[in-house]
Amino acid sequence: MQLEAYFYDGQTSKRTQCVLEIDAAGRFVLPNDLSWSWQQVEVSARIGDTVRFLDLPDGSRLESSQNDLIDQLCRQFHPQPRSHGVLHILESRLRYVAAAVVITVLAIWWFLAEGVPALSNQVAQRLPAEITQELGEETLTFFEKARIFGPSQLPDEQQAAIRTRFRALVAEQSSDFIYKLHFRDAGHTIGANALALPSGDILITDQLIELAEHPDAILGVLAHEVGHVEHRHSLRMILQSSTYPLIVTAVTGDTSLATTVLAALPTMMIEAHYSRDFEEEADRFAKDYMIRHGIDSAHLGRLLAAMESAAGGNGQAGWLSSHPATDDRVKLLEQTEE
Amino acid sequence: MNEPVDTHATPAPAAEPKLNPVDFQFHGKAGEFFRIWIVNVCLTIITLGIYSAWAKVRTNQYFYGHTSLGDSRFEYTAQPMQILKGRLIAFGAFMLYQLIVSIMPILGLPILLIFALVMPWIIVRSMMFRHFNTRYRNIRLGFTGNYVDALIAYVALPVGSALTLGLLYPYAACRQQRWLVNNSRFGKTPFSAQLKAGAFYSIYLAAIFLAISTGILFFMVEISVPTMLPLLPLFLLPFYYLVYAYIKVHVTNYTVNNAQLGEHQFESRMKTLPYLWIFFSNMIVMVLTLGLATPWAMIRVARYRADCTTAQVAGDLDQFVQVQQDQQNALGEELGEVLDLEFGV
Repeated sequence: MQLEAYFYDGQTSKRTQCVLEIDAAGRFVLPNDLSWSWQQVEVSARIGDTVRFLDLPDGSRLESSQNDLIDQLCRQFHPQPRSHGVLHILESRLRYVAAAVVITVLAIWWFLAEGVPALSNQVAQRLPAEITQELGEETLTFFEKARIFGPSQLPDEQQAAIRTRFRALVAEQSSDFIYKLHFRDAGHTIGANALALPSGDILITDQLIELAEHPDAILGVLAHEVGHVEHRHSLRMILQSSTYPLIVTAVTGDTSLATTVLAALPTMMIEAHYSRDFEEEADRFAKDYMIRHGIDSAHLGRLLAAMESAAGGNGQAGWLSSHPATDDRVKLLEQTEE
Repeated sequence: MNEPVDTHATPAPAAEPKLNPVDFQFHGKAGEFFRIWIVNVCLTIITLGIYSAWAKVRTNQYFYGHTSLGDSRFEYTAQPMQILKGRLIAFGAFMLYQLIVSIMPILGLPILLIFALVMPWIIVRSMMFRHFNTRYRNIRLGFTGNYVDALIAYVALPVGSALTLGLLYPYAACRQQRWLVNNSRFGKTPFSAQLKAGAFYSIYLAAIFLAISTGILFFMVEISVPTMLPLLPLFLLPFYYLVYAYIKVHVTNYTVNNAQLGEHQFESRMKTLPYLWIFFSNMIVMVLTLGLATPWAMIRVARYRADCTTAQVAGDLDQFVQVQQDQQNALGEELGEVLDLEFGV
């Protein structure tokens, strides 16, 4: 058999083009008149059609691109460690490549959908409540600066009535959070809405209170927000979001800013998915509380429906878009399971 | 990614007679590399990261082996086990750091200071390992940089540039490139480059001018069309990349064009806008394919860099002489990678 190759003696960079005659026993003579047998050669792994380097015992080397012939010689004269061949087979057969794509996509999807939420839940539950305090203060300051909210126009008596029920609600929680209720006007910005900061600060807008037909609905909203805090949803979201760039970096092997941007799209998709799960969890929390106190949770359902029609599908704020379909939520709240 | 083009690519100034241009070429194909890449990723996931050492070797072997200069290919000779050991130690060190900091946060700063002193050592080891495992025509590259110079170039000067509001930064960049090139050798033949700090200052000044003028442009857009405000980051990104690409391209060109290897010289003809286009379109396509186009993007970059690089060969490339040196361990390189250090010509 004839193998076309470049020969380098390893002492200098001189290149000698040669055609090696390999006899039936695997012996061949190099241009420097030294004779070796194929069994003494260490052959670099096959990677696609990358050229191969044949390492000879005296430090000289052959470079050749006749991959198929080299593979044949290896099989004939010295079986390579099997792993080399296996990897090349995996990389060269379409069905294995397809399987690799499927496994990779599924594994990453599973990790994003199940692994990361479970991990960040574990971490979030262990973080001391003081950390959330700081996060909450920062957010409140941001709201002030951005002028998203104005001072509440609600009469004091109404505020006091709601506060009383709120205090009863939070007194029942065994966690370390320091709950505070803030009334705000958001007529020009986000309208009827309520939000919970990780610290236990809960904001409710005048517009939402006006929209409620029954005081129990407002209590339902507050219980829902307390549910977010108790389950540490904000922290979990923060922890989860910060994981994605890491994953993208691990897969693409790229640490530049590009990957951060690359991570943005899937992050947004997955976050919407998570936040729906969180809303459901908070709804259940509210429902449980209301049932325990003999309050009809359908009040909250009706308020949700009213919020949706008030928003009128004109792309109003995140409250609705990141929440599960309102119909499903209303149904959940109306169901009378024990 | 460290393409072999990098380590070699070094540039050529003066016009000496009898120089023959010999082009660097990259022969890799996206379709072929995709298969290697996806198997790498898949096996890395299945083995919980252990396979990543093999993945790295196969990837480098693919890129080196598909890069040629004058029809001879480059070779990457690192062993996966060396790299795995380095990775495990780096990972262990990182976990230890996390543990210590979470238990005694007060130790965070002293540890960072110690790290600043260790980092130059990591960089030196990393360069040694990378060069030792790069061959061309069966002659190894080598690296002779020492700890003190690395400490100055990578720790003292960057700290100094932070204290002087960046005034020293181009000088630091110059010292780094000088250190990298002038301590590299091919066999017994050293690389050399007379890099002047002034040239780095003009590159960075031009970059600042670029940044300021685009900044003003966007400030004006922001004022005249306030509704664009939320989209601003989206528009700013290409200009951030423009500045990045400008610096990258000009520093590479200047370094390569001034480098010499014995009688031989080098030439780099990268241009900001084509480079930016490759970088930016790669990113868009990677986002749209959820990362599956990564191999294609890597191949494009390697091809562009090879296409832009030429060696000006005096006579022929047959005269280099091998040097004997000890085996290098992978610890430095892997620590460098885990800790996200980026350096290279």
